[in-house]
Amino acid sequence: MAQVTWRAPLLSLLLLAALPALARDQISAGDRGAGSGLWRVHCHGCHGDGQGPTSVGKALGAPQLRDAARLDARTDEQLVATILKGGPGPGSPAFGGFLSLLDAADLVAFLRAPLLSMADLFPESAAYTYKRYTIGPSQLARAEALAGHLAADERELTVFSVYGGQRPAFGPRLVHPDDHVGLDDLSPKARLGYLVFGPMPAGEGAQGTVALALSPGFTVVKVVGLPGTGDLHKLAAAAVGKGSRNPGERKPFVFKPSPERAHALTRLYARAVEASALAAKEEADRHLFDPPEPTAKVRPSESGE
Amino acid sequence: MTRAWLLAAALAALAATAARADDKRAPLDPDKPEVAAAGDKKGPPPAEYTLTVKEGAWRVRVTLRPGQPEPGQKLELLFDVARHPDIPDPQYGDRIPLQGARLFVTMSGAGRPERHRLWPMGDSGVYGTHWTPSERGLWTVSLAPIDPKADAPTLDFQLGAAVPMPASSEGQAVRSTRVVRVGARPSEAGKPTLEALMKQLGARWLELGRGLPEADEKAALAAIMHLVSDLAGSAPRGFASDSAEFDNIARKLKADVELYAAGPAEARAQQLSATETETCLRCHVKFRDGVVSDVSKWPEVTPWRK
Repeated sequence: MAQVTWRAPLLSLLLLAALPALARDQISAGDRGAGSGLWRVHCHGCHGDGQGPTSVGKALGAPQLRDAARLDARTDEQLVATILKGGPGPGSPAFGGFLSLLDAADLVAFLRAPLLSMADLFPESAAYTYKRYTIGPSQLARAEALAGHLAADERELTVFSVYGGQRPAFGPRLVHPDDHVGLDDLSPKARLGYLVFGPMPAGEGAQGTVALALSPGFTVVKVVGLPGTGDLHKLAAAAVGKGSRNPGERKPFVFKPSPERAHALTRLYARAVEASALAAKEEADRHLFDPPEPTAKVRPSESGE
Repeated sequence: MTRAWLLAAALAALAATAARADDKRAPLDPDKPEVAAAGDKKGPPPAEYTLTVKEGAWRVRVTLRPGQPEPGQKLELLFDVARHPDIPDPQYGDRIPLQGARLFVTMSGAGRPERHRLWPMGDSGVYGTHWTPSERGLWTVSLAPIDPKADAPTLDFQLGAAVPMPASSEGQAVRSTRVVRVGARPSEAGKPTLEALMKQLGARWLELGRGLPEADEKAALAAIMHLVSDLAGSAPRGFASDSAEFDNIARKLKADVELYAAGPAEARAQQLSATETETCLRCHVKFRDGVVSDVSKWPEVTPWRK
């Protein structure tokens, strides 16, 4: 019996450990090794080493680039264009003068390599879109009832809405939030769930990042820590399957070995549910006037007439 | 007397035989390998290697840069993909470049397999990627469209990393390339531009801190020292009033490189990182990227709001 008790968590642990490897077997944008050297020389001075920008970078407004939410919201082409032509801010230079297209692709491959891809969290995903939502007063009251006071910067969250269907060979397709025709093609019936990223204590005062995947009914599907966040398998096992669409049934996560991590996950879940509800409402509005699904014709003989 | 002469002759013959035997054994001496001697005669490795692979009406001209792939060294793979129809096309003639295709390559064989997407390089029908072979040996490179139903070639060829190219991938090795700058002013003709200088410096700089053999690291350092010596007095246009500051940073870079070269191996990574932050970045944010107006109080900076 003891063996049975141990095998199931061990199996799930091995599966979770294999997930990033699956992503790395996908088609890479370029040469990660070459990108690592270019990162060291051209990017590291401002953008830092994954723990946020350096002091020089902060003065210039350099963002944290190895950020799963930021990268998942952009295609390889968009990232390459930003590297070569420069970002929107004045502190973001254009590297096109001394980096080639393939060098930029190497950097993109390096940036994406250690991070989770959409296919890691939703293997059946065919398309996804994203949007940053601000939690309104009524939702905030619900979220704070579950997770305690939320600071102003915690009231905003980027939500990825993930859809199934026929999967492109290149991996899930990103539909830009401004692509209204593309958004119309994303059927609510094909929705697989939602994905958010948030902070997670990584021990000794360090801060990591956790990916939280929710089902359409707002139950927790997956909890995966990004590199540097530490082992989250036991916390994930305690949280998966919990959560509910009904606010009254939502309860804080309990994980005795690390209450602060459980609390961080509860806070993220509370924000995620409210922001995902906004995404669901927006999607419903988008498809309000869709023609009804065709129903199967019933022959008169079968209907008894 | 005759015996003495005979003995002397026999000894001389033995010495000559031994010398010949030494001559024959010489190339097998591990300190003087035959390959190195042959390499000296061959000169530098080829700058690029081209081969053509065919599949039906498709012709793919593959270019490898550098021409001799090495493990741990970045390789540029370019694919010039075109269809050669039996009946010439009225617009393109007998060669129709493959445009707008989404292709990928799989590298497998000697080491961990990798799949890379190919990027359109600007020229019609030309796609490319970078790849670093992880192991010495023969690799199979397979080209295919991402959408299996797309009208694009599916083919493969082999290449050797640190081993000769296989006979099936026979092609042409280009030894060197030279760019002739026509119309350059005589005073500028002999001196490389700052852009060219920094490009070479950047390429050499990336060789540091990679755990290369000591001889390779020394060669890279020697090249860097030579390039860094030319930096002072090369302040970019538009920064004439700040040329003294530029020269100071260039001199600091030279001192940093000397310190790196003289320092113990275990301290080199830290020294390299410090130089990149304190010297390279300090210069780049002002003189290259133009995002900072004042770097005199480094690392405190004054952003340059354009």
